[in-house]
Amino acid sequence: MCVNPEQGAESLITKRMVGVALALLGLVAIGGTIAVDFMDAGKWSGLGPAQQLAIAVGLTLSLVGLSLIPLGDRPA
Amino acid sequence: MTNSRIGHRRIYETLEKPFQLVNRGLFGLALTALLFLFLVYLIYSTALFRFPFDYDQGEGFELWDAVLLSKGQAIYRDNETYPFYSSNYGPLFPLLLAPLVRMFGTKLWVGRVFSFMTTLVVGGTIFWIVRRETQDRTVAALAALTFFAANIVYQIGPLFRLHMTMVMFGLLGIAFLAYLEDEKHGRRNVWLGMFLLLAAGYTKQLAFDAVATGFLFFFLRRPKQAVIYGAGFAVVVGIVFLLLNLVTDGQWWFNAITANANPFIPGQTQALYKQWFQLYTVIILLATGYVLWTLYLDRITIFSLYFVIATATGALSGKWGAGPGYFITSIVAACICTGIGLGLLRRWVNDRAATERKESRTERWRWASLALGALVPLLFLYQARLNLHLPLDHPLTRPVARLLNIPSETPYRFRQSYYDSMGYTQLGHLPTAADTQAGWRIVDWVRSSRPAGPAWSEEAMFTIWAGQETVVTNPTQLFNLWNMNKLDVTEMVRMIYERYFGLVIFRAQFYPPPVLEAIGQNYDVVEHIEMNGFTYAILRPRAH
Repeated sequence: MCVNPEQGAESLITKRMVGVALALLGLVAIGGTIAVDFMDAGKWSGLGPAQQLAIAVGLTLSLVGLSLIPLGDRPA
Repeated sequence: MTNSRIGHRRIYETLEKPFQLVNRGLFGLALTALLFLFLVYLIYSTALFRFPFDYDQGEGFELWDAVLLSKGQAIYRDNETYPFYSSNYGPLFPLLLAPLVRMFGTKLWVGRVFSFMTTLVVGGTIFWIVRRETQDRTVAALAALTFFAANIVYQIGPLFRLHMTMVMFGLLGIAFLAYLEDEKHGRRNVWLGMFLLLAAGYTKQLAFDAVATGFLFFFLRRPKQAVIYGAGFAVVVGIVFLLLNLVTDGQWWFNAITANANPFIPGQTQALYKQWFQLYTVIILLATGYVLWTLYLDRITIFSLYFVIATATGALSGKWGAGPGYFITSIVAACICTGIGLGLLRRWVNDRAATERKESRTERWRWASLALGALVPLLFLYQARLNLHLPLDHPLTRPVARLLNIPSETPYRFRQSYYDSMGYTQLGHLPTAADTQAGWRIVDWVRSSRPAGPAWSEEAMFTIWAGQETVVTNPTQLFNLWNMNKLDVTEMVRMIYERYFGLVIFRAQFYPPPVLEAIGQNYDVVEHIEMNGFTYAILRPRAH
């Protein structure tokens, strides 16, 4: 295996792609955190402190991701 | 040219020289402040090199791991059989130390000097990266010195602990992968980068932040290759993991992975994030600015990813037994991002001042250049003030403490002879001659009680110095496993009831409750000895 400097240019990761990926990751994080309560896996009733933290992180990721989408095809 | 413009130009020409002088003075002041904190680091390090006992509770155990490996013995063992000892970290650090321990003896200074050297490598790498990215030596030096000035780097940098070695390997891996697109050395950089990341991971499991950063960056720049190389890397990691597990009969998995899955305390994470932000405000904000710039206006760099991922990993500091050391990688990344950000900004403004064609704008850029020349050192100076820590009784630092009006006594210090802007901390003070004497007194206890049986000690160095053939127990490991219901204490409790151990030495009593109860019923305290700010209880077996 070797690194060919020209090979990477063919498949470019764009800001939009990163944005979509971050937004989805954030949503999954939020969904997963809330799902913990439905599965009765958490030890707190309602949203525990760790869940609140995870939701805040998920929300931030989603917002950052959404803000990157308008940057379009610029290389990430 | 209008009269007012001529007037502005004259003002600039009159004030340019004095402003430049002031700026140079400010840079000198910032460098002096940071060099002073580096001097404090040297003073502390040399004091620790001379101190022969555990300054931090885990040091002796990490030395013992190196001793075991140097003798070809396993470090991942069954905790339920005598001597109830096992390591809970990766094998690389004791493996690197094993030949050194063989060469220089079973001494703590060997690993402390080693760790100290790794911090020099980290500082040097920060300087190298910032200088390479910005061509700005001054800012590169300020960024590197800011790393040494960080409270937590100072506190654990020269300890016989593996954390700094992990940080060093992780950073070197990142530094090589940063230049994976280098036309001449791209391939070499990728291979070396991955090798160093592998080394970081097998030094301490926490290095996954550097590994994630490296491969994420690789993916952003060369997605197809990153997937192929990443799969290869995962296979190598897996093979090493399985081999370790096979050779140790499953003890590697049990002691290094299962035993480290400690309960998460959200309040602890919040408190440590707060402390991290309060202590490193300047570099955190500047690094955040750099990250946003790379995210929205330029290309994402490996250094901005490193800062974000390492900062997120800091959340694990909420695990029981973790602490502010989990933020060191984030501090390293913040120093790099700050240095690159400020260096590039300085270059950009200076270039604009030199190349702007419109005269009215040229003046603005020149003023901006002068203002930035004052702002940059002031920012580093303020960061140095936030990180201030120094011994109050050392001849080289005492005058500075007086100059800064640091009170000689306050209620929230672990030791009154040491000031740290972090507040209460059990690390950072200089051990005294009385501490060393107290340590030897405990060693005498171990030696004199030897005919009655081996010593059960909460710290390893007393038994190592006394020449005991093995270290008995790794207390926090036993405590963690007990809390997870994964430790059967029957054998150790039986031996305690038989009064097999000639001596028991306690410091924090981090043992499973049944063990403490058994010792309480069979051993009596014969002396309390103060060492290094802690009270050690010496217990002897009760007469049958």
